[in-house]
Amino acid sequence: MKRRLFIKQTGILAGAAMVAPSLMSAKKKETKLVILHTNDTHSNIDPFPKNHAKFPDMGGVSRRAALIKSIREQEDNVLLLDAGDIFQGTPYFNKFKGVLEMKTMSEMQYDVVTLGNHDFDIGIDGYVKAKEHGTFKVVNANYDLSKTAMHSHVEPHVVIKKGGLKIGIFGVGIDLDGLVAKENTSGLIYNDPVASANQQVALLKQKGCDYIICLSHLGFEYPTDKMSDKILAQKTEGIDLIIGGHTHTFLDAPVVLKNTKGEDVLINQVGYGGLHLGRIDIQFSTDLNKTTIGECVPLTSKWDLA
Amino acid sequence: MKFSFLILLLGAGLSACSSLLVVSDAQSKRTVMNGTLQTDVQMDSLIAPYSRELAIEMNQVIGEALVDLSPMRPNSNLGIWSTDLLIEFAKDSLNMNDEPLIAILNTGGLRASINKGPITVGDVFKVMPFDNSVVLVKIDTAKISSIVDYLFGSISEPIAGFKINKGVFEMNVPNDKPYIWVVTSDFLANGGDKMTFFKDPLEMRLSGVLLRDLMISSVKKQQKLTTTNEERISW
Repeated sequence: MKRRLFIKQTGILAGAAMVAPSLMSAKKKETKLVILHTNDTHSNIDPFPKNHAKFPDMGGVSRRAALIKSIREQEDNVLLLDAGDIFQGTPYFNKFKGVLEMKTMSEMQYDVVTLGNHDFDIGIDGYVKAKEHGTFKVVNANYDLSKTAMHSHVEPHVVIKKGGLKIGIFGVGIDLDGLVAKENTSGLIYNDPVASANQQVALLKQKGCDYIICLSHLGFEYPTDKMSDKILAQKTEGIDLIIGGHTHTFLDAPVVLKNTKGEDVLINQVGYGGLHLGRIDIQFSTDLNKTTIGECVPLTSKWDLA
Repeated sequence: MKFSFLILLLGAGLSACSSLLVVSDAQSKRTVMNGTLQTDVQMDSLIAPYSRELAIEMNQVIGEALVDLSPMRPNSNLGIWSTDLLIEFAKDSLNMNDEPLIAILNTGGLRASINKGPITVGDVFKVMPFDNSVVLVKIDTAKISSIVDYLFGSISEPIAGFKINKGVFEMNVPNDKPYIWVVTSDFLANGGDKMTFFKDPLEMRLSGVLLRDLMISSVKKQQKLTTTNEERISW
């Protein structure tokens, strides 16, 4: 007994001795966060048909699952996100009412998704029923769902801890008027995405988040002044990254815009149908040499395209 | 663990900066999900029973497309095919033979192309995944100008029974009545895509027939789908 206690104590001591020098020499400590994302997957379980006019034999959840698995084997801190419209587009949805979309996304271990307009296509009750098969979190901050069956299934934001980082993730959705049959959104109240976003950022900052991601189904941009990711990025503050959807926009690389404070906001979107998997690697560093109080180190954007 | 401990320690002494963490680098990459990628055995076995059940229904070949039919603006062969079959259905089955009749759908509602080759039930599901049903809406001819305005604003939607010839509305069959019937989907008739000319109609008749089912029966009837590239809308 004595001997074991002794070993334990020296173990602690040794541990402390190891921490101390590392603290002393830690001029730079790096943590890498890998953000994987999809949007508008639209019930595309199988790859597109081999005779598809534009995207023959592309996509498919089995390939996506394998790719995500291989990334998880290489990386410690992986976040898997989706920007909405997981429903509608193939007969899998018509026949199984969203159950298979939920099951496959859970199998891939999606962390957080937001709501797209088509996610209301079988009504609020339909979504909630399918969601029984989904293990991921659903975020939206600008739909008041308190009077609907969704209220206990959708949160304005979530905070996820990865590798010592606190990642705040909130969602914003498009105005559903004219996009979804009224009876399918009964009780839902739409609020301004900009006001909702600023509110969420403030809350997430209060909670000590190191990085703030907005999952948006507003759409990348419009020829009119209709609310979009581009407008949201420029009219808010504190959002680091917008993962967008709805407009099925294929971006070659994230677009970088300035927010109201002149800080960079990244926007990314990867088309639709699970044709592409988006990946953004963020390197966080506690660089004791460079970082002084109140100074901001600019984000360098080196986009490595594949 | 050691990392968060570090931040805590150092963070205690700071006031202006909540954290020492900074983004020092960001890179992006997108992977095109093509056939060179591996598949996942576990995912395949999760999907398999669903695929089998669905395949029995969806893989039935019901006709053949001699060309690619795609939804495009301003004029598309898929749009022409879809609206023509609405007109035919309204005439044959909804007693619209002697009435002024046009058809309007929305480009955004046609969700996929019918690709050249055999057409299966599943292909039609992809074009029209929504459970929208066919409706007839009777509107005052005074609303024609707002139909033209709408089409101008959106550049075009699939139409039949009339033309927009350099911006001018022309019925295929001249109309002396003060109203027209529009055969369309319940989604559009009820305010979808903000087609406000459907608001406060003179009359609305539900057919109870799904647009998709109508498409499936049309493919079965026509067997070989071919199209002419007709210009129905020009500005």
